[in-house]
Amino acid sequence: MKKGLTVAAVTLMSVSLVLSACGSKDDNNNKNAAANAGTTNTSTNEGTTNEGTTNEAPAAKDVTLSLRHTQIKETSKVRLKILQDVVAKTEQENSGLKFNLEGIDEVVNRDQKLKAEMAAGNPPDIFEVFGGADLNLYVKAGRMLDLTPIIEELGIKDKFASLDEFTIDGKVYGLPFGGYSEGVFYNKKMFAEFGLQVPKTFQELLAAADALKAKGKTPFALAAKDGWVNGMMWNTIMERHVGIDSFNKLLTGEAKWTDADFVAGFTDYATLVNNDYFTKGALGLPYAEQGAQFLKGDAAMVFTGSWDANRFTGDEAGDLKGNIGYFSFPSIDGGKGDQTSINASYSNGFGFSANLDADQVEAVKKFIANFFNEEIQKRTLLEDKVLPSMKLSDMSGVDPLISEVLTVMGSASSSWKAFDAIVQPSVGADVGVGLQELIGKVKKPEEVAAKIQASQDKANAQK
Amino acid sequence: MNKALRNPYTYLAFIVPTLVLYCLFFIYPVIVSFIYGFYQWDGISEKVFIGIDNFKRLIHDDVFLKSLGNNFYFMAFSLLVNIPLVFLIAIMVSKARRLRGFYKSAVFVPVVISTATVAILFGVLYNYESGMINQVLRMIGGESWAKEWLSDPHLAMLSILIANAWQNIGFFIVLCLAAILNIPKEIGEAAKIDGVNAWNETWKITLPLVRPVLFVMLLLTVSGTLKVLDIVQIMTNGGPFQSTEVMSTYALKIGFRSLELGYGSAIGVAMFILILIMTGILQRVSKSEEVQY
Amino acid sequence: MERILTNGKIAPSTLQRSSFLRNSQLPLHLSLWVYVIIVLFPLLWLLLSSFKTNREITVNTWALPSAFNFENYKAAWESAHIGQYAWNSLLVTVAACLLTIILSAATAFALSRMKYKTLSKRIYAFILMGLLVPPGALFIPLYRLVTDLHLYDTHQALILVYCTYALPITIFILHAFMQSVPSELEEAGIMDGLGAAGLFARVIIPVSMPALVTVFILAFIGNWNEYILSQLLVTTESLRTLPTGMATFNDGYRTNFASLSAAVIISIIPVLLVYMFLQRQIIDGMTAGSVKG
Repeated sequence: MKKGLTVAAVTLMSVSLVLSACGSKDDNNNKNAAANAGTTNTSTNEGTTNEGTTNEAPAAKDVTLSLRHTQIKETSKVRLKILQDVVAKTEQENSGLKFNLEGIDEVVNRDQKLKAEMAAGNPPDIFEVFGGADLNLYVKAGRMLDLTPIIEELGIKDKFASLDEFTIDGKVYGLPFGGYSEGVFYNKKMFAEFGLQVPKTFQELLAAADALKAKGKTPFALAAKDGWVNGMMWNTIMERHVGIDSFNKLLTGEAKWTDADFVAGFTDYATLVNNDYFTKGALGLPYAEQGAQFLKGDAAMVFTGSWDANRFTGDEAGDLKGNIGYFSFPSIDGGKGDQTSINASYSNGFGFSANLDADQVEAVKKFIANFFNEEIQKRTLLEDKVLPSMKLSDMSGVDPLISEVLTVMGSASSSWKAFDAIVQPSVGADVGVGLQELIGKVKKPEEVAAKIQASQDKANAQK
Repeated sequence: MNKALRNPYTYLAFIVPTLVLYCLFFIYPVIVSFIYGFYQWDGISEKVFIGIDNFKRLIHDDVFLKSLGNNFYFMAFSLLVNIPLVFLIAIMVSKARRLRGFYKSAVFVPVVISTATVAILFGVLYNYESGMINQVLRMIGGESWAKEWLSDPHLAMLSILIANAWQNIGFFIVLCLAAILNIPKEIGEAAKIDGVNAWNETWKITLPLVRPVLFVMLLLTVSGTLKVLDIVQIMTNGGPFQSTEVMSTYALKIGFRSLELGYGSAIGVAMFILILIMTGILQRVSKSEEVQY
Repeated sequence: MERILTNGKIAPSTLQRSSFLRNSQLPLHLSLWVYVIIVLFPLLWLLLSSFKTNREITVNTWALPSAFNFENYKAAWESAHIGQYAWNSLLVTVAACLLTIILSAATAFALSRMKYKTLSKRIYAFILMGLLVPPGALFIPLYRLVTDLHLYDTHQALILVYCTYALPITIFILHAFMQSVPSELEEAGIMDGLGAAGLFARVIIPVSMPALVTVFILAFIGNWNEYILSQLLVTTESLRTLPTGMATFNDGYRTNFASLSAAVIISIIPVLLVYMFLQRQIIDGMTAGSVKG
């Protein structure tokens, strides 16, 4: 679940480089405009600005919108800048409209602040929200603005790659600002040095890993302190074995974690662990560490989300810069899943308060029009390296590694959302614990499956 | 007799402002959150009153019981290792004739660092491959001495305890030192004239005289270790596989991530009662041992 | 940790046995130095890291920096708004600490020295309960309370809440100290015609100076490093406190260790200065109050 937010994680050191290297004229103009953010901004009418809205003589009425974001970290500066530019542009186009931006810590917001506000019924007007359990709860309590009419009016409903995770009973309650997919990043240099090919099947993957181990390298970097990190690769192995639809059936009892194909998935994951393919001491390492090991050249591969592409193309990569590739997890013989499918998700987005009055809803419409369009999406892709949540026509100037990620995504036979967006939060937490038990080699796959099934039974029994 | 100390207006003026703030910002939220403990509630939808069901569930919750055990481990370690160490170092610093100011500042430095930073620092020190601790151990005893400090479930708790001790005992040392230095010099001099050796002086004279401070340290340790949260949360967040879960981290996970605020609050209530009992016992014990000088 | 312990244990017994060593303080200083080095090593490493680049830290974690560059400090100062945040932190921290100290000292005095024994005992026990409650459980009710009081998004909210949260432990420590003040001192004051308030200001406060300074430092550090409440209760960018700036570099996915270590160094300097300045007061306070038994 938590990985959704990493979509937002970014580097910046390379940004100006990337910009000057491959930025189009538009981008440079935007950058200049950005430099004057807050003051009046005259160069924004370029590109896709909607002339119509400007001419429609904006109501002189004073409208204020509070906007809560979580882009307060150094790594999300670029994303914040893009948001600020959109806000400045929207304010400038609509006199009397004012946004109050408020940045706070992501975890504090998600666990405490937004929950407290939602309980009290006074959330900010615009806020970041995750699709899934949280959103469900807020919609059930009637706190979320139904965006369906707005995106239909703006004609952008079909432009999104997927609105699944924000759609409840056919209505859309949030708009994703980016997406990610998960796969294997690998050290091309090391693969070439040892004469290894990109593995196509699980057996080839095991063979490659053995070869790497024999050379004294760690096949897979892993930092397993947080459950969701382990969940990524495991989720794909599981999908190969059971097919993603089986996860939905767990909630109705039609499928069980203890079914043979589920257990086979746990067993394959345990094989990777028992062959010592992962970083030693992984259970104590925080997430950032696995990327560091990979970039240090200690580990040949790392299974992670596309958000890390930004880091892997930054200065920290050193001489590995440009020598990192990406492939989809190999297929597993005899599995019931879609063997060339990929995990892709668009769960991190903006939601809007149900308390807004008519004028505010009008203003929100303007904000949505300015934020969710090809221009901003392209800019996010170039500067922030976050996968676009909308379909783009122009793909020029994209970093080679990002292109590779997009190509892999494009050639996947299907895509599916992560298991923790499907099962109940308590079950998701127990999967995290179970995987750590496998990694710590304290439990057998069957035992882990049985324990998770017990948790599933309990969760299914509630309501 | 002491009429001066029997002025009701002064008494009220000295106490009421404290009580007002305390009741408003502390007791009121406590009561509210205790009430949640009797409901099934996700934090937003309608609350459902379920009486003591949450508490019944608690008794059969293995993870909660494991957390409770870890809290007691935490407490035992702090009482048996930290406190004697604090006392020892405080005595040594008080005996030092030179550099006392330097020692006093040096031992205190870790205290000023935020727990988040401490956790990051020790994460780097504990790293299996590149961590300084394992590098030193490998140098001494070879590869087999290197340990998976934070990922071995048998070591993870200990690793947290060491980091916690590193951060926290400095404050206790200074507290204890202030008390030791506050002992009138005459007493020490008298002891010296009577030919009392250093060991006996420490054991029979200093220790009893700093008793109030010792009690302060014990009570803070007991309550502090039973409600410990941030160092565990940041270093392991209860992992690996909940082997370092403590009551606070578990309550927060249940309350906010698993969206069971009612059950999470019930854990908080249980913690409160437990700490109340433990500190009650401590107070009893210390009273019964009290000796007049 | 065990190493320190054994080392430490040698000291007193050696002191006891050998008259030569009793005069020479060498073993004492050696033991203390072992402890000081263990305590300061991680910080020294942090200091060195603050001069390295991130690549250097990743590849040569424990080596000395290749060159002393101050880039990290510049980056920390600028991108984390440390200048402004530090000012806010100072304001909030000092205000909350002063309020805590004044209220606690008055309350502790009234409870420990004034002649309303039974009532005092009850109130003291009531306030001590504050030590037992895990604060994590209180955030949601606290947020609603602060909003209802129209204090949301103000420094006053932080000051009042920080102050209140520090009250129980401060009162607890001060109460213990004030209880041990010999009543002879007070009686002398009463002879001079002082009332309760006069006794408090002229006699008890000067005598309790070491304890007051100690709790002030404790409260100062706690407030200075507090993160969650400041995120919860303040939203305006310009009102934010220092830990927000620290968090800028540590997002869990990517820790900018170089800038983070520089920021940590910057953030602990004021606290260390406060401590070093005040710890002299501890000694002064001690001589001023030098209790003639």
